[in-house]
Amino acid sequence: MIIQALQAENLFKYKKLSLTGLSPRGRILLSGANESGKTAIVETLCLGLFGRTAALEADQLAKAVKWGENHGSVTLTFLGPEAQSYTVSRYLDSKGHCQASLSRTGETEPLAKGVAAVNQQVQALAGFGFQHYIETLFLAQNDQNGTAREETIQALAGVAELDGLTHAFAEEIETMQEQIAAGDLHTASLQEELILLDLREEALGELEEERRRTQERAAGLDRDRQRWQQFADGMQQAATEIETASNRLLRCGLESTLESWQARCGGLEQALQSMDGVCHANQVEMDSRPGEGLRAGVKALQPHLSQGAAILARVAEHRHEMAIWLGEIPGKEGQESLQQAQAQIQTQVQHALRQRKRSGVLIAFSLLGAALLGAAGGVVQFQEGTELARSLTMALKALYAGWDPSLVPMLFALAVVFLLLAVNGVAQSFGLRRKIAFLEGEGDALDEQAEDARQRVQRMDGAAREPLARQVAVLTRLTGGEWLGELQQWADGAGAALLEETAQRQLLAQLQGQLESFQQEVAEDRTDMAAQQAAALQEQQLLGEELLRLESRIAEEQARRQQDQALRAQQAALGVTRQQLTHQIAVRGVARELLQGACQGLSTRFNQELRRFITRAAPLFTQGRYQHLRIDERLQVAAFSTIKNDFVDFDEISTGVRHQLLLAVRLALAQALAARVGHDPQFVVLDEPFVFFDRQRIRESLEALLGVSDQIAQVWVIAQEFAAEMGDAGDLRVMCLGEEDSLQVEQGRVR
Amino acid sequence: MTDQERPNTQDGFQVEDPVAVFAAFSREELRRWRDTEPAFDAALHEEAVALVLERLRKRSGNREQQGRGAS
Repeated sequence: MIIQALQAENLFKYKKLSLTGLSPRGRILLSGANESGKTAIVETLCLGLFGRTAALEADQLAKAVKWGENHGSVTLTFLGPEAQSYTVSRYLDSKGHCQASLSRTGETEPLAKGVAAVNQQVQALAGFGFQHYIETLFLAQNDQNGTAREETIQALAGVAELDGLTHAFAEEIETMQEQIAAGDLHTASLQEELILLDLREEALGELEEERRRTQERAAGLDRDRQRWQQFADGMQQAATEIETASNRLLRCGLESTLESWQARCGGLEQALQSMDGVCHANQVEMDSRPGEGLRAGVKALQPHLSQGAAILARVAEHRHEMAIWLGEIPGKEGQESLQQAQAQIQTQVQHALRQRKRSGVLIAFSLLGAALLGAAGGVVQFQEGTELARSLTMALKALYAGWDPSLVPMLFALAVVFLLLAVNGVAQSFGLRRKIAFLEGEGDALDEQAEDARQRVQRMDGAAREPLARQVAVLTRLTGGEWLGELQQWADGAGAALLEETAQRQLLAQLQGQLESFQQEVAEDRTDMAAQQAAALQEQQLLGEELLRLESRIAEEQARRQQDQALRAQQAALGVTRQQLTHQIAVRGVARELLQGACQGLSTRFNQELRRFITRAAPLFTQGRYQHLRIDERLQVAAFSTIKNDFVDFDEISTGVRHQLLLAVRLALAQALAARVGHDPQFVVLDEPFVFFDRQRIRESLEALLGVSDQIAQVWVIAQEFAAEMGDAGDLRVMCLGEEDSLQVEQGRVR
Repeated sequence: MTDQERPNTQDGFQVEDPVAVFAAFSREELRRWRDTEPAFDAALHEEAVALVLERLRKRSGNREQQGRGAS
């Protein structure tokens, strides 16, 4: 950084201060008597750069305003990095209010506004701040040791950055250790909570198993209740069917047919079987079988009905056979029928009549033959010689060539044969007549039999449509049935209960009683079942309450388990965090060791470099008398005294030499700062550096100032006076006069 | 003062880059520990080096950002 111009109004002693056109390389020699305003110039420069001065703290800036003025201002133009020119302007009033702006020179748009922003940007451009400036680039007249604070040395050495990181890591380690301690405390409190929680691993499983068993028991009870209900419903339905069937049976009477008895009895038996099925299939293992009396009654009644039905079946079969015989319905092939019998008789009669007719013809022919043969024999025998007898003999000879009269007896014999044939025919005809009469009698009998059969069929049919009692009465009056005896026997015995009013009333009363007993049994069974259901329901309700209790305990146990898991998760997370923190601490520990080692190396080499530079610069300001210096790690200087032939401490050296050495140290520090911030040319300010120098030393020191380093290009030097022979033509000489409150230097010329 | 007595201004004040110094030192330390300590945790060492370099880069980046804002 090189100062190009410094302009101020109403600051310190100056109403107007203007130094412009300052050379980037060379000496600026400010001289004047005490209180002439020399230091005010460099204080103004410092104020312009950093907003404060070496003598004034930040809260004392109002004192910088010229006495009696309300405000003051300073405008500083400097060359920054890459030879860019910047202008910083500051305004402050007597109350200490400050304003500032920074811009590239020639531009109106500021780079930064406000004191803080401008200070930050100036520091960034310069590469150093106020403190470094004061301790390296600015040598105050009252500075007695010339060295910088350790922090500044570290910054110059490049250690500050590493050291700052070392301290940052130390703080982080401390913070992490505190975090670990806090985490350990937290872990301990979590462990206490876990102990208090006292979670048993198997507790939840036990509760869930108990709940499962209870649920199964409740489900079993529910199934039992449903089974009881199903059994009760089934029994009720079967009982209703039995009652209905029983009532239907009880409505049977003398007007009922056997089919009706059978159907109703069968219905009741079926209903009882349904009840048996219900009782047998019940899944509640209840030993119940209501209606035993009814079953016995039906069982007793059933054979009577079966027996009667069997008899009536036989009657019906008989009637069927008669109908077939009568030809009312077709029968099986070969089965005898009335029509066949009648036809057979008729055929026999016809045959007999034809035989009788043939017998008549035979009789007539036999009689005619016997007459003719008898007559011919008589004529031939007894009227021989007659014409007639000759004619007959001729005819006989014609018929039989061997005829001779001796054969006349043969004619008579033949006549007798014919006569016998006639007699036989008569006998045969007589027999046929008798046969025909017999057949006609059989036909009549058959007709009567058929008529009788028709009447019986008709009566059977009529009886079949009648109630059982009348049917039996009609049938028992019929004759000719093989079943009649059995029917009569049944009617007098087993069937009496169905046929006689008194017996029937007793039967029905007995059935009624059995029905009532059945109803009572059913009612009792249903009461038992209701009691069982109620007991199951009650137990179910108790199990429901137990389930609720178990659910509550399970939920509580689950919550405890979740809490346990959460606590353990927190512990685990804390463990992980602790592990990570421990690792981070270890990492930072190693980092610190490495940083400290690197810092040590940096410091060592920086100090070596600084000592090298001081050792080289010191002879420039001591006329070569102190070429051997010893500078310790704290930059404490010891010089080799040729008189004492030994190194002497800084305090033992004369004040003049001490200041000369301090100047060398300060220039070394300035060089170090310049090298640290970059390789741009740098200005330095030396306030009364030669106060104890003699003229020769001042002159030589002035000459040496610009030769110390290429980077220390612009050197501001304050002194009481600079002799004319001091310096050279390139120096800017500014003489401050105590009585003047205005100072203007333009292009190296004082106006 | 003779020319020999003058300091060699061509040989300017040498300052070292702290990052480079640190990197070199940590490499040397790594090599030394590896050679001398069987139980040396090289991973921990490298992690520490990476952490330092990262922090230094961040600081450097912040300064550069401030500098760019000004220039």
